[in-house]
Amino acid sequence: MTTGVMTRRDRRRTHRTPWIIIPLAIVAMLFLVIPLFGLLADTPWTRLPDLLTREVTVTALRLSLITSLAATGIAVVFGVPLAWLLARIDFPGRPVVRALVLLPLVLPPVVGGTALLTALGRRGIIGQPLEELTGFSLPFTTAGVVLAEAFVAMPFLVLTVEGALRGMDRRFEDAAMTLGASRMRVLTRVTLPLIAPGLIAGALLAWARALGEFGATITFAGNFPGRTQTMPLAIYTLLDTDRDAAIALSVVLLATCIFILLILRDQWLHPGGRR
Amino acid sequence: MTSGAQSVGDLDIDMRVTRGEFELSAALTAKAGQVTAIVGPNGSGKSTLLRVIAGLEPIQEGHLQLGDRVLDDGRTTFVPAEKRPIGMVFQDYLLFPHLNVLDNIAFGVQSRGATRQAARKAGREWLADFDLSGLASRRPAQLSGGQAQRVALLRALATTPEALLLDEPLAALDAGTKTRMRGELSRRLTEFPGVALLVTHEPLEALVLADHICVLEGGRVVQSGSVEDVAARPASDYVAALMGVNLLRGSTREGRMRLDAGGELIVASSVEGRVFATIRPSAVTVHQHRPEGSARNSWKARVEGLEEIGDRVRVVFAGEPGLLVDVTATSVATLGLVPGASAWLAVKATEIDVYPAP
Repeated sequence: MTTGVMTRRDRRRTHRTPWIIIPLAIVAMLFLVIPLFGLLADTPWTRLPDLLTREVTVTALRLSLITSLAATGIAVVFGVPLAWLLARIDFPGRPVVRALVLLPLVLPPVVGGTALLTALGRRGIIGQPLEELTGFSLPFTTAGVVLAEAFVAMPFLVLTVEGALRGMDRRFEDAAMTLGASRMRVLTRVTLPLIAPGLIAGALLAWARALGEFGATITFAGNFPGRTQTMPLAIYTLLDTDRDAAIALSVVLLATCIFILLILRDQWLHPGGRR
Repeated sequence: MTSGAQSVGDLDIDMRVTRGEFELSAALTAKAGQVTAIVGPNGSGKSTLLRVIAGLEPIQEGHLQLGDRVLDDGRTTFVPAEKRPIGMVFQDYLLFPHLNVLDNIAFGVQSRGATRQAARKAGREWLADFDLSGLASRRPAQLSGGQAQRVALLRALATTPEALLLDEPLAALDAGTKTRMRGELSRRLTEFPGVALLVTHEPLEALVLADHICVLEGGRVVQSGSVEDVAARPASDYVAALMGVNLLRGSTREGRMRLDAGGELIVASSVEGRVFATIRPSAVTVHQHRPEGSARNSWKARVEGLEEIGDRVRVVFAGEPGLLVDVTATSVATLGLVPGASAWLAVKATEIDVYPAP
C-alpha cells in the first residue's frame, strides 16, 4: 500500500534523466523512509495512551519538554546577539570565530559532552571556581541537561538568524532611525519583526535539536530518571526492558519532528513572511 | 497641518566624505520654506549627501547646521539620525511591511516620545488630513504606488520635522500617477515651513517642484542657483542636457563667437572673452537649401539620429556646431530628415544666449 503511494508520487517527467538516477534515488528514498514505517508498523497503537501515561514516560516527557524549551530560550537570548555580531560587526578574526561557533554542528555530541564535562566539571576551568564560590556543580543535574542541549542547539539558531540578518533590507532600519526610533526600538519594532521568519525557523531547528539531544547529555549529565533522563535517554534505556514504551516515546519524538518540518516548510516556502 | 509651533531655520552644509575612491565634497545652503532640488547623474553623490544630512552617515570634515543647531562638525558633535528633527522620504518608500498604514505613521510619532495611544490618535488625524483614512488598516503591500507614496510622505511629516529630505520620491511611480502625484507633492511642499531637499534626476520634477537647484557632478557642486538661472545658464553639459538646451563653449570678440569644437557664430552680445552660450532646440530652424532671411547664422549639418519627445521630434545634428533641434513630425517627412541626410540649420543671433564661462 505504502509503496504504491510512493511510486505514484514519483511519476514525474523523467526525460533527460540518465536511467541510473531513478533506481538509485528510489533506494535512497526507501532507505530513509522504511525504518520510519517499520517503527510505525511496530507501534502498539491501542496501548499508546497507557504507555505514555506511565510514570517513567511521563517523567521523561516532562523533563524533555522543560529542558528543550529552556535550551531554546538560552539559544535565542544569547544566539541572536551572537548572530548579530557575526552578521553586522566587522571585527578581526570573524571567520575564525564563526567556524568555532558553528563547530558543534558537526562535532560528535559525545565529544561536546566530554568538553563540557572537562570545562564545567568539578575540576574544570569554570566548574571548579563555580563550585568553590557557589557550592553548585553542573554535571549530572537538570541544569546540566539544559546546558548540554543548548550547546548543540545554539549553532542552528545562530546560523539561521545570521542568514536572516544578512538578507534583510537594512534601509528599513535607516527609515526607522529617521523617524526618531532609538537603537533598541529599531531592534524590537523593526529588525526583529522583519527577521521573524528566520528567527522562528532557527528557534524551531534549535528546539528539535535540543529535544533529540543524546550524546552530550548522557556524557555531561548522566542518565538519572526524573533529573537528567530525557526522552532520547529514556528510549535508549527502555529498549532493553520495556520495548513498547521505548517505541511509544519514539513515536512522540517522530510526530514532533514531522510537526516541526511542516512549520518549517511553510516558513521556507514564504521566506519573506506575510507581506 | 497638525504641526504646532515649529522653529524653522536654514540648512547649511559644507562637508567632505570619502568612500573608497569616491569623494563627496559639497557646500550648500537650503532655505527654510523653499524646495531645493539636488540633481546630478548616477553616482554623483546625491544619495550620500541626503544620508549625511539625515544623520545616517557622519561627515569626515566640515559642518552641518540646521537653524542655529550644529548637527555634525566632523569632530566632536554628531547628532544621531534619531535625534535630528529631519524627516526622510525614501525612493521605494520603505514602509514597514509588518505594520499597517496607521501604525507606520504612528511609529514615528511614538518614537519621538508620544504614548502609543496618543501616537495612534495623531496618526488618525494625519490620515484624515491627507484624505487617507480608508487606508488605515491596510498593509503596505496592499497599497497602490500613489497611495504608498502619500503614506511615506505622511509618515515623514507626522514627526513634524524641521527639514524634509526626499530621495527620488516619484521615481517608482508609473507615468500617469507620477503626473498626478507631482502636483500633490508640489502643494504639500509649498505648505511645508521648513527646509525641503529633493533629490531627483528628472528635470521636470526639479523645475515643477523646486525653487532652487543644486547640481552635483562627481561629488562636487558644479552649479547652484534659482531654477530660472540654472535653466538659462547651465554650467556643464549635464545641466544643459538636463534643461534640454544646447550648450556651446568658446570665446567672443566683436560680436563673433569662435567655438571650441569648431565653427563660428554671430551673437548679439557684448560679453567678450571666454563664454558659454545656450541655444534652445526650438529656436533653430531647418532648411533644405541655404536659407535667406533674417537669421544671421546658417550652416550645413548632418542628421545623426532622431528621438520622439511628446508631439515633437528631437533631431541630433552633427556639424559646426552640432546641435539638438526640435522639429515637427511633418518637417521630418518633408525635409527628409533620416540619419545621414544633410540639411541647413539657421539660428538668429538674438536666440543665442551668451554668458561668461563659469
